[in-house]
Amino acid sequence: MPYLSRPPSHLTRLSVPNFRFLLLFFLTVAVAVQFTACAAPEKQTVDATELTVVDGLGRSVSLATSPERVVSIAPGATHVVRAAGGLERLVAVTTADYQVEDLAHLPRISALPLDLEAIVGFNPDLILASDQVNDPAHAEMFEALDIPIIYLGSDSWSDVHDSILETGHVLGTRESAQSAADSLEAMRLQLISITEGQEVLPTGIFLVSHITSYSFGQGSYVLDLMEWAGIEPLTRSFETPAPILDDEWVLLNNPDFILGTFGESGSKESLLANHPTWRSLDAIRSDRLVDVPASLILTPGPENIRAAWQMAMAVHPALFDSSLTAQKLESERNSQSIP
Amino acid sequence: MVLGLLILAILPVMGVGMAFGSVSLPFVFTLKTLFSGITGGLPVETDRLAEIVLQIRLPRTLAAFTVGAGLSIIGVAMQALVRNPLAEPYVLGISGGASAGASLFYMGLIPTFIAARIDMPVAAFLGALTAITLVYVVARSGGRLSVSRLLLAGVALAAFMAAISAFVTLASPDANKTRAVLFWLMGSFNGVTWSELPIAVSVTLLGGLTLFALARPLDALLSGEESASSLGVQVESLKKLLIVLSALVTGVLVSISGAIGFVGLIIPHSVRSIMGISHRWVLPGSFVAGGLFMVLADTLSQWALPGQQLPVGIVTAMCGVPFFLMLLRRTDYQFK
Repeated sequence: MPYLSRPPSHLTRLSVPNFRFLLLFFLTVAVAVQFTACAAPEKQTVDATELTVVDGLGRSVSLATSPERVVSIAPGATHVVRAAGGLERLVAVTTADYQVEDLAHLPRISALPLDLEAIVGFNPDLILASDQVNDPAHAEMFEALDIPIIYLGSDSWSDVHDSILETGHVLGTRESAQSAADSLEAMRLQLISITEGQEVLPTGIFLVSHITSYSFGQGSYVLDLMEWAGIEPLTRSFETPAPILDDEWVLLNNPDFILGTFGESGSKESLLANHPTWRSLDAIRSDRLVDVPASLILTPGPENIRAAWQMAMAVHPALFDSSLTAQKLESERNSQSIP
Repeated sequence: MVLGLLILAILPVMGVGMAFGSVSLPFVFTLKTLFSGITGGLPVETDRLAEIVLQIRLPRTLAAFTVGAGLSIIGVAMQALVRNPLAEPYVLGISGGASAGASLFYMGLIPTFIAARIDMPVAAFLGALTAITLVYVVARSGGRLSVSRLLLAGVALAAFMAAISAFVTLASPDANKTRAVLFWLMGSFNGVTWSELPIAVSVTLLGGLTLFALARPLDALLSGEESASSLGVQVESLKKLLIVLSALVTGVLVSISGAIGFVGLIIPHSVRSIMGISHRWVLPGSFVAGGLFMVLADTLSQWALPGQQLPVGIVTAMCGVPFFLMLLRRTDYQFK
């Protein structure tokens, strides 16, 4: 097989100069790339100093430019982005986000466990997380991938307020964010002014579900919402923020109102099916059950104020002029783009 | 002597279970209410505190005793059946099957025409029945029941059923249902009503009496199938009966209390270490000791977090296991 033992002569002749040329070419490219690589961080550093924020975990986060591709990895963070007027920047939200109209077009990523690969696959220039929900350890991983991540504070109403302003600052929608934050605070103060001054507050418990009686204890934002709504939360006595109420305790304390995110399946009958001894409670006998949409209350965020209004209107109907209140809520909703 | 002491302890322990609950009630009031309730002298509906005693604590305490007693005697039966000290009521995948049944029901993954006719406890029972049937089919070979196959199939099916429960729970979009299933999987007597007791008590008594009647064959079975057979024991029939009884009692009890582990393991061994290995004593001893243990564990679970529910499965493990390990340190303990 001569063609294998000796290569064709024209190939042998051409190969030597081609090899030298290629070697020279690659060396030139390598040097050029090296120079470029050295120069690139310098440019990033210059941009990065333009925007630096301290997030809910106390981390200092620098952003090169105003982000255009934002991934929210917590429903609370999505609510804050909406309130700050930056909804069009979102490229993905989590499967835990509620199915509302303005998020319907967005792809969803797994929230539990967090689908890290999918997040990176969206090529985000900012990830927004919640300091209450998301794992702080993820920050290091995303930093290593050069993707900035901001953990928004949501421990209290003032945290939510600050998060809206901070998000507006980061997304370049300061005016919208300021307007929304001011408007929400005005709604809160107005609600408190309506419900305060009553001699005796009605008592209540808030249940996350009509099946297992998960509730909220000390340190929970839901107790704040109930107080603004003019309701005395009986579960304030629990030191844990998420107690599971015992039937005996509920019977003994006999709340005036049972509030909860009961949803479509959460009728009085289904509540009694799971807690038959509650039949003698005043709240059950008098049909004082208040259903609050889960999307408004189960995630700490700007929507919570609407939940507080709904609870107050259900518990203190005499304090509200229904037509005026509806108009007020509608106008607030439009001004803040709250669904 | 020991059995007598255990029986004597029933009343005081039940009294403790009735006296201490999630809320603090005067003991005298509890006693008076009990007496009035039994004699029919108290209009329960009008007195909320009396309702706590008669409609919550009393059925709850009785349910705890029943479940503890039932799971313990089935633990004895399972250990004799497979001649393995590691056996417990859940070893044959019964608990896993019940959990999978409950999970599928909660998540709405059971066909509608079935789901509309059952509730969660029935779904749990059907899950347990499915699991034990599969294990039985796999373990049966040539008309005989292989104990080693029974154990291996049980362990494998338990893992499979646990995977089903984990998958449907994790994949569920309904957080409320996920929470409910996770809580149920840890076991609780909160919300047990009078209507749930008759079946549970009947099945447990049936199981207890049947097993007590089989005390001698069970003793023989511990020495090996051939030895038992030579002593005139119908080994294959006995094994089948034990499996059916185990599925029935465990399935019914799990359906009212959720999955409570360790009781069926630690109580029989604890009783054996004190009363010896004869089933004539181990069975009644385990029945009473299991019931007492569960009542105390449930009382502790209510006392530990006042006003809140602490799954009793956590207490049985945290309190029972150290005690059990201490017993095992005794050098004279023997299983067979």
